[in-house]
Amino acid sequence: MAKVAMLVDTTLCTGCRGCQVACKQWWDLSAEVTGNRGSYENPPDLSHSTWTRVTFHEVEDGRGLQWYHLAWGCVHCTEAACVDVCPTAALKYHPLGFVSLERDLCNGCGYCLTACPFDIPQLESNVLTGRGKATKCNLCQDRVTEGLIPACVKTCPPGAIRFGDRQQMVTLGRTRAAALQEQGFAEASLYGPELLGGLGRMFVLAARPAKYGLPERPTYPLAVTLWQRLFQPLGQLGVLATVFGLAANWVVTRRLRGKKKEEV
Amino acid sequence: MNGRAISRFTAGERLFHWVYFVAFLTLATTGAFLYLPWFSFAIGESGETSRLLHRLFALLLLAVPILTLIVSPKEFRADLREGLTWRAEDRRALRVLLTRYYWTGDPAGLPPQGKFTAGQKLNIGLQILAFAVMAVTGLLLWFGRGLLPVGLLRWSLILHGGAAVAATCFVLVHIYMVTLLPMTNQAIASMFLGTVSEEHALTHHPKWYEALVRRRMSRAERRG
Repeated sequence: MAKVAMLVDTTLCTGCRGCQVACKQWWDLSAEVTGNRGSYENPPDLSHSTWTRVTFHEVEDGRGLQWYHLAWGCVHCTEAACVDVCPTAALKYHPLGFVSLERDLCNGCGYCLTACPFDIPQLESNVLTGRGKATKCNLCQDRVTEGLIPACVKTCPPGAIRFGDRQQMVTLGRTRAAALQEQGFAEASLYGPELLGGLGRMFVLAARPAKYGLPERPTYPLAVTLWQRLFQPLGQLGVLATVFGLAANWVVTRRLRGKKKEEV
Repeated sequence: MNGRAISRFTAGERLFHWVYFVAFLTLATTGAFLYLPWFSFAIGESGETSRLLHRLFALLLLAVPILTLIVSPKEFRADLREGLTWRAEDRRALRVLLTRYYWTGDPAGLPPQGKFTAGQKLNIGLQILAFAVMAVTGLLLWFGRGLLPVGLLRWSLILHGGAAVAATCFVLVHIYMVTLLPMTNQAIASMFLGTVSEEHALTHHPKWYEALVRRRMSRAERRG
């Protein structure tokens, strides 16, 4: 299956937050009580009922005060630490190239929260009992697998969010970044085509990623690699070795003690 | 049949042991649901329930030392002190036990042991170490999300799993030694009845038994 991807052109985004609303409508997510924190940005973070959120960044650089906004949500890594640590396979690599989430399978352990290098998955759980479900953008897995485009893409008035064949999106993003550089945006780039095996949500940026609140070089957490590839198999091996050791001991002691009794 | 029954563990000590045992097994099972990818039966709702059980039994396990300190403080403190004290003869004994006695049953060169043999001391020490690591990292993982740096949580998870695997191995060895290993399996009576046979006390814990007899005799003398 050809992989799909989302391309967010931040230079076209007007910060209307239509994507945020469309996401809530399609997934029937409740509104949150918002407050004025000196920014249009609301709610303050992604949450169990906000999977897509427009972030606003006011940055003063050489060209004066700049106002950068971004349709933020799961970036759908190709090498996704959240999928690798999920003990129930609620998080999976979808053949279409995004990270799907099956809510019914989630047991609320929260491993994905600590694994994600982008701090995306959210878990609203009872602190004492630990009951709850992790949530995040699933690229409208129900729509996409039926040939529709994600709700946020469908609604975006300036057409800043594009969706389609991943290769086409990369080409489109690169072309757009090059055009921006020609127009004088020296720092313009396409964010994501090579990060973590390739992101499923890429961004056309007019400035350095940090100015949009994005990590410049997000990496797959070392602790997750060690845990999954080294300590977990080693732990299983350790228990197995113990059992084998005990079995060996059982055989040896019975032989040696039997011999001793005969001698006596 | 092996002579008199010698009292080894009080009801308080036995209660401590069995509550710890049940809590440990439950924690190991509900933890394995999260640790082993091929053992993930606990998905969705049942997974949430198994995680809740993990928390409840973790509280029970944390309560065990506190409760024991209330129920039988004297024995608990004496056991801890004795179990964690390593003398030169214990180190020597451990070498003999691991390389010869536990395989052949030949006690030659084995220094006389106290209330706990060097093997039992090893089990006690490692189990307490694993308990401490799991208690600290477990509480960090339980209450630290969103408050602590994510790197600390990632490493806590690794330490928690590592300590759990190690503790599981010690427990497997422990269960084997009190059930199947012919040299040591008479010891299991002390955890059910509280007593061991006089013969077992003399062969496995001579220093402890001598001290016991001496104390009883001096008490009898005092009573006159």
